[in-house]
Amino acid sequence: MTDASGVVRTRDLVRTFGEGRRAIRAVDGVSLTVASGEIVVIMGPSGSGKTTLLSLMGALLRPTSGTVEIAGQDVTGMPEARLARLRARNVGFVFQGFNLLDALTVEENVLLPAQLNDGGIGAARSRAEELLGRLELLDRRTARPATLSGGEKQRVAIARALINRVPLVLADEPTGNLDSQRGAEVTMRLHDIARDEGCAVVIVTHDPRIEDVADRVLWLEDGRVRDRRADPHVWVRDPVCGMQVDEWTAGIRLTHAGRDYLFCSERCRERFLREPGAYVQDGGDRHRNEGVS
Amino acid sequence: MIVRWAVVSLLQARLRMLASSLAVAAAFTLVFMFRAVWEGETRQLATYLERAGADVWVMQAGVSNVHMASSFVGRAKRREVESVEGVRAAAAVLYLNSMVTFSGQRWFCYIVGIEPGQRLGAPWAMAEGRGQVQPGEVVVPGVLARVSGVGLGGSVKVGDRDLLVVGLSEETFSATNPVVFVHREDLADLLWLEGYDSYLLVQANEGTAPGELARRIEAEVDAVEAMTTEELVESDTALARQMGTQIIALMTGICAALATLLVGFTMYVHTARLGTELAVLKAMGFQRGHVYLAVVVQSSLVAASAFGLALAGTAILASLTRGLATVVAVRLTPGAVLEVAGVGALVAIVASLLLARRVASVEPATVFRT
Repeated sequence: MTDASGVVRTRDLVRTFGEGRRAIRAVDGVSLTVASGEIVVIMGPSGSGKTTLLSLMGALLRPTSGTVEIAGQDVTGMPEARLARLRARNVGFVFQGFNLLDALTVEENVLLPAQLNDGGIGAARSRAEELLGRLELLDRRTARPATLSGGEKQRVAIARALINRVPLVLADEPTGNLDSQRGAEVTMRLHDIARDEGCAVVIVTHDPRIEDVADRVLWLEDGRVRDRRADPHVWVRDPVCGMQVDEWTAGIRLTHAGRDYLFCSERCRERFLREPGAYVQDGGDRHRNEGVS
Repeated sequence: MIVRWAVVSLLQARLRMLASSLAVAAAFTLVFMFRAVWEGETRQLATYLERAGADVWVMQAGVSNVHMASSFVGRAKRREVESVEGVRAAAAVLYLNSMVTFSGQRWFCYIVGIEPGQRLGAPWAMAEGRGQVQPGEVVVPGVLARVSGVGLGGSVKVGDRDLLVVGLSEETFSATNPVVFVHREDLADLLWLEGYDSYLLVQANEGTAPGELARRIEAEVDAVEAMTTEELVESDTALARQMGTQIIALMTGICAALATLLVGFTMYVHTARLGTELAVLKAMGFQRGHVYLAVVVQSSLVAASAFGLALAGTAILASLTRGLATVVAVRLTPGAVLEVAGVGALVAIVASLLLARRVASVEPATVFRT
């Protein structure tokens, strides 16, 4: 595997849902290569096909046409059992909802994928120790996910994604359920470890802050990779935390008293919904959503 | 680790698991109790044969049972049997399976006709009264006397005649076939039968093996069948079991199906709750077999805990039955325990199979939508 060939490479990738006149091309002819050590951010409006593309790149979904290569292997027609083995050794996943297993401790969650790797869990203990240390989770190793904060959960998910020293990490909205401070922290940690270990990272997000850590930002719209608008950002403020949100890419919206509000995360939106009066004040919002009236 | 996840995630849903285990345990307990009662009654059936005092039983050729059987042996045969080398003593009983009425309640009984002074085939343990009967008298099981309210000095109806209760015997009661003892002449009159006995009870000399004596009797006496007590007990219990096999199998099948549905439903609800985690496991690279193993482990855990609860429940019920209602003989055998354990294992496997399609259909791609 070289930078030239890429850790993950797609060619004319198409994924269609439904048939006939109702068919929707969620991904429409996407060709891209992500090299080792590269961090690629995929942005775009809701429904643009970002998550479908991520599923195809992670061999979780089969393309309607086109090819996907992971670590030099064409996975397009690979049998399910081989695909599962390939995912275990080559792909780590980080999800918006963390998706930790509630029944296992932090350390067990991190070690779980190692069961599928050569050497098994025993050989991965020192690696887990190292990752837990880097992600400042050593004192939480015996805790259950239910007792962790959102930021801690996402750090555990990152450690779990990296335990098998995979060459590719796919992250779907990794900051979507975190407030701005924790979102930034998680992003930086993912960035640092990926860089140090030379693994390729593909992040699907609405969060413009993640652009800062990206080597490349791709814009997906109607299933195709397109050029971004000349003026990429129209910044508005999240009325809850005050963070800047890109109006064009933000996916978490709400209409309240005839006005649209954009939020950096679900958490902020939920807080707003619980007590709108605390964030919408006479004469204007505490943090004005200036671009969205 | 996947097994640990399977176990802990199931234990986290304690209430659901407990409810399911209790429901399945109730089904297993039914099987256990049915088997225990059947086994107890079957064993009780053979008690008379074991305690009558004979080493060898001689009966009409072609007959190999006492239970549900009729045998007629000419009276002259007794002397022929007594003359066989190795016979210490021989006695005859007349025997009938028929209804006996106790205070208006009809019981299907073994009616044994004996002669005064006879020891072989006569009551061997008495609770009250005497074990020897004169014409017009009867000895009944003490338990039956208590249940029906007929005591010493009372009367019971055998055939068309009322007989006076002179003794209450022990160890002669079973819910299906209690043993009552009457004078041989009374039973012969009832049967309109002269010059015949039903069974000859033979004691062997010391040093003579019962099996050897039985073969010798068959060789030297025409038209009779001779069996050791052990063989006869085995033959009668086998017959009794055979009669109950289909009922037990049906009962076990119904309970197993019920248990399978309960475990299957529990696991269906459980896997639905854990749908996202199953998808995460698949996305990580766990094979369908790994995920299926987790479901099998969980089903087995529910079935195993239900089995344990059922075993404990049955032990309690059996002791309560013995203490409160002595009319039913209860006997839990290792064979029955093994059989229900086998049913439990089958339930776990079949319940898991019911979920195989569901587990297989969990799409790993759904992890990005949760």
